[in-house]
Amino acid sequence: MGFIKRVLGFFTRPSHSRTIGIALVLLLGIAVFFTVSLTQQSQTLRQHASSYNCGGSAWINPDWDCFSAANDCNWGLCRGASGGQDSCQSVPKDNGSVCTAPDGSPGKCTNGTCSSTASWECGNAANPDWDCFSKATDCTTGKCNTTSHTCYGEPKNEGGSCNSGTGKCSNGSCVTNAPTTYTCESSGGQCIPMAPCNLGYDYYGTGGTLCPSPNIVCCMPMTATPTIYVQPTVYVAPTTYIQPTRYVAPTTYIAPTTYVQPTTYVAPTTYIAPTSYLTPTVTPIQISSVTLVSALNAQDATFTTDTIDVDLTLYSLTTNNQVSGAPATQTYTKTSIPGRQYSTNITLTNLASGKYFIIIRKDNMIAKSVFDVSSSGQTITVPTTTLVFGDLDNNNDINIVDYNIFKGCWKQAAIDTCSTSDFISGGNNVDQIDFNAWLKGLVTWTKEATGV
Amino acid sequence: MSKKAVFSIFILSIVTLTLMVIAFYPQASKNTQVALKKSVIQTVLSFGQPVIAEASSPMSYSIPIEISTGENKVTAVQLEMQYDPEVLADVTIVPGQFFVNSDILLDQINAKTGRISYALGVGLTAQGISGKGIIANIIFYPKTKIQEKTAIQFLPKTLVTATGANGSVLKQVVNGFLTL
Repeated sequence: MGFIKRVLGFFTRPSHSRTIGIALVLLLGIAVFFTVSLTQQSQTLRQHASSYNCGGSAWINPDWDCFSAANDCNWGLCRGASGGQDSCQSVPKDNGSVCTAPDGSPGKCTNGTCSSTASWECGNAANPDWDCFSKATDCTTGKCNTTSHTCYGEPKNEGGSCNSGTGKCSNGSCVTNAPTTYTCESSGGQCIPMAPCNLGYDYYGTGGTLCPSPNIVCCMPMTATPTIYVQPTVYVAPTTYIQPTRYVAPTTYIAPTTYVQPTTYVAPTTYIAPTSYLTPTVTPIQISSVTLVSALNAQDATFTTDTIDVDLTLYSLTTNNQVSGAPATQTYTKTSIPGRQYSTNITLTNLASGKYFIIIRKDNMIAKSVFDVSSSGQTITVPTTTLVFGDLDNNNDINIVDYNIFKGCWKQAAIDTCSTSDFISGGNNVDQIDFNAWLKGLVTWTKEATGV
Repeated sequence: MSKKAVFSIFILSIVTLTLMVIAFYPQASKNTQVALKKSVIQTVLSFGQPVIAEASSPMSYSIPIEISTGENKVTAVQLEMQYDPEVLADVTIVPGQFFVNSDILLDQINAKTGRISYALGVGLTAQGISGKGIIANIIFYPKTKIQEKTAIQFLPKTLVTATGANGSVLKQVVNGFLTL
């Protein structure tokens, strides 16, 4: 009885501390409920994921588990019956996708299968009509019959002008216009009409003038028949008889040499084509050291010091990887040659023979040089290269990814992540001067040391 | 209020907050994953139908380079391409209609090697654009009158950038094979 009274009193005589206590207990209960339910849900998902063939891993894209189901004509996609993603499936690519047929010839995909297109006249290209330019004329468009894979000319420009204005299109053919004018300059003689003349080229008429306009019929005059035969008046005898010179007999007759009968004819043996070809392998030569003679110019910036220290990164164009062998830093010394502000000799060691390129970085400016290494002790002089602005993502390349970063900082204060976009520190913002510097950097970067 | 009550309230508050954080933390990471999914690479570059650019003699052709962005909001395209300089002559590139007022960032065509480096952007103040359209047109003359097959190929350095993406969003390129 006393307990019931105390409980009733608890609710009928609330105090401030009791109210807060009850609220906290309720809040605690809700939190426990959420924790338990979400933990159970998470556990269920983990169990389900462990039974996935795909989509259960940490990939952002579940299809990445399904490369094994992909080929020339099929995507490898992660799919499930209930909309989930737990099974790798081969899903056919679009019909017409380019592929390699089983016999190694070029092919196209049809419902997930690659068929050879080696015998097709057309239809191999992304646009099948591209193979049919040969059928294109003033009066036809080159088209591909996608069923028989043969080219044909589809009539166009019906009634329109063709063949430089000398004809009109009629059902895909250029029909030559009938001559509109017939002019004959012959006087006194007869004319044989010839083919229509070409403007400015063929002579026509007895006057032999250039064709003044197309389609005029050329006219060749016949020779007029002489009207009177004129008898020669006086026979004039030749004045002097010239005695023929003496006949000189040949000195010695040389008999032909003996004819030698050819020996037995040996038929050529059959040529046996090799069944396989060995791919020649090139063993790179190990080079102990070479000297790279390098000179630098600088874009829109003048270094005032007598020396500058730069960072070097060396890449092999044979293995397409970064390689060691170059010093991490190098000091360039100022020269007095215009356009060749700094130079140095870089010693490269322990390299395999092959093609390399080196990135030279001074703060936020980069330059590059491409060169071949072939023998030890070699001195390689590379063309002067320019330190340029623009590599905003710091990946030793300048391209539109850097443009995208620059665009995000356009007219922004040159602080934090946008501080690197303020190439020419003329103000507080990333402005047009900086964009001009970036553009110039991109153009120079692309133009110099090509082949990378 | 006694010190014991205040201490109990403090302890309970700490426990409650901890449990709330544990309860809602997985939900937050799930949202992050969804956001990453939306920024996947989806842009495709390909060649369109060639047309006669100038019906003179020799005849010049124009081939459109088409872009399909998916959900990417494209801000710039860098075309690094290779053609056969023995087959095509006087190659030039002009911007298409996909970017309304495009910035030409790079325009270098080496007629000896057949290397094209061409880049254009949407403009520094413009938003990224999504959809399908023609990003640029290649104009050229056939060098010989003999029928010849040739190709214009995209090189691996071809890039497409988009709003919110740190790298290239180029998913696929389709090279152009043509018979002149």
